[in-house]
Amino acid sequence: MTSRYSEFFHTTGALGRLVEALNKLPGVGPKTAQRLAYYLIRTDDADARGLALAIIDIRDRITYCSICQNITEADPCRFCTDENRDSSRICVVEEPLDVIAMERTGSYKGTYHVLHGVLSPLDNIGPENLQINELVTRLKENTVTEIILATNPSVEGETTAMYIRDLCGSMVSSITRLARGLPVGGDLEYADDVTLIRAMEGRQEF
Amino acid sequence: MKHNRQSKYYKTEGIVLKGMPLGDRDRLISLYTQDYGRVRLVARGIRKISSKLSGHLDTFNRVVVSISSRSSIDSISGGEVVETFKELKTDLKITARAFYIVELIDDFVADGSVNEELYSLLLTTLRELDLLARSISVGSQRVTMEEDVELLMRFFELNLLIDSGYAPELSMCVVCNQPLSTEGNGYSVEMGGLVGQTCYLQTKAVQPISVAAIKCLRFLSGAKIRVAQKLRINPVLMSEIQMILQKFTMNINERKISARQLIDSINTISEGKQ
Repeated sequence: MTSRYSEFFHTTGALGRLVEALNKLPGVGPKTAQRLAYYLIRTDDADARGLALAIIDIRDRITYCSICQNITEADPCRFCTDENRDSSRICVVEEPLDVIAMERTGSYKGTYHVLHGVLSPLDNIGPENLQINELVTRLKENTVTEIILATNPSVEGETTAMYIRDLCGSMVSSITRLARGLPVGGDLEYADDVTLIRAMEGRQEF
Repeated sequence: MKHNRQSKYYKTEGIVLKGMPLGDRDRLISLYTQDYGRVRLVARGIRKISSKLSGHLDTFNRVVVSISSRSSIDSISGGEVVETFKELKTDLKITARAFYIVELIDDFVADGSVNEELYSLLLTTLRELDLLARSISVGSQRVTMEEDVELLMRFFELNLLIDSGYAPELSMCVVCNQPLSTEGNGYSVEMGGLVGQTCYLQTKAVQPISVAAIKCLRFLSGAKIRVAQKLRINPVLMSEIQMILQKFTMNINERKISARQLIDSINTISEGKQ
C-alpha cells in the first residue's frame, strides 16, 4: 500500500514504513522522521537491531502494576514489593516520569500511585479516564495513613488534587500537598502573584 | 491599541484557555484575545522549573503577552499576568464551572475570529466566579452561593448564544412570526426559539416551556450581569432553564461538554458526604 508519506518523500517499502512510523512519535515531524530513518540505514547493524529489539521488549514485557499503576516489568512493581518502604504512605503523581523524578531525590520512602494524567475537560479527560478508582480501591483494602498529592501546580493539577481530596478525605487520616512557591534558582522579581502568595503562606522558621 | 499582526512583534491581552505540552520543554498555549480572537502560541522553555513565564501562563489567567511571529507558528517572547483569579482556583466546584465556560468558548470560537463582546463576557464571568469563590472562602452560605453560581452559568450560556450570533428568538413565534400566547407555548432548538400555542400544536419536535422560564430567559438576555444575579429562582425553574439552554448550546457545538460531566461527578461526591 502506498501511503501519503511514501508519495511525499518518494520512499516506498520498508523505508517508507519506517519514516511513517517515526513520524507518529511525539515531537518528530516528517523531516526529522526522514533524517532518523536515513541515520538508521547508515548506523551499525548491532545498534539498529538493538533499537528494534528494545522496542519489541517494551511492548512484550512492560505492563502496569496492579497496585500503583506505574509501568513495570514485574507485577507488582519493585516499589510496591519493597518491604523497606512505608506502604501506609502513598504519593499520588501524574505520570510514571514523576516517580523517577521523586526517586532521584532519594528522600521519599513511601509508595506511589500513578494517575496517568490530570483532569482536563478541554482535552476530554475526566475522572473516569484517570486511575482514581484504583486509588479508592487501594485505600479501602489497605491501611493508609497519608496521601501526598504531588500533581503539578497548574490549574489542572490543582483541580485533580482537590477532586482526590474531596473523594478520599474520609478514607485516610491525612492528605497533604507538596509545598508550592519559589523554585531553586528562581527570581523573585519575575514570580507571578499566586507563586509569591503561596511562597509567603508556606514560609518556615529559619 | 490593536497592533499589526503582520509585524514581527506584537503585544496583546488575552485569557489562557488551555496549554498542551510540546516537545521536551515547551507548551502550546491557546489564548483567547480581545484583538485577534483565539490564537495558538508556543511558549518556549515554559516547562522548565526555572521558567519565569510558567506561573503567568496558567489556565484562566488574564495576561498581556509579547508575541514574535518570525517562524511558522507565533511564539511568546514575554508576558505578565494581569489577573490570576486565584480565589476561583481554590474551590473545586467553582474551578469546574470555570472549565465549563472556557470549554464552551473554545467550542464556539474559531481561530482568529474577533468578538469583543464574547471576550468581555468571558472576562466578566470569570471575575464573578472569582468573587463568588471569595464569598464562599469567607464563610457565606454555601447553598445561596451555589444558586448564584448556577444562575451565572445560565447567564453565560444565554449570552454566549447571543454574542455568537445564535440568539434564540424569545419574543415572537419562530414558525408564524406572531406574538406568543400567554401560556401553552413551546420551544424548538432546531428552529431557534420559542413557538406559539397554535403552531406548537401543529409542529413536530417542539418541547413545552413554562411562562416563568420564558420570562426568566428574556430577563437574562437583556440584563447586565450584576442585575441578573439579583434574580432568585426556584430549583425546578433553574433545572428547566438549564435543560433548555444546554439543548441550544449542544445544537451548536454538537457534543457534550466534558466539564459538565466533571461538575456532575463533583456534585455526586458532595451529595455522598451529606
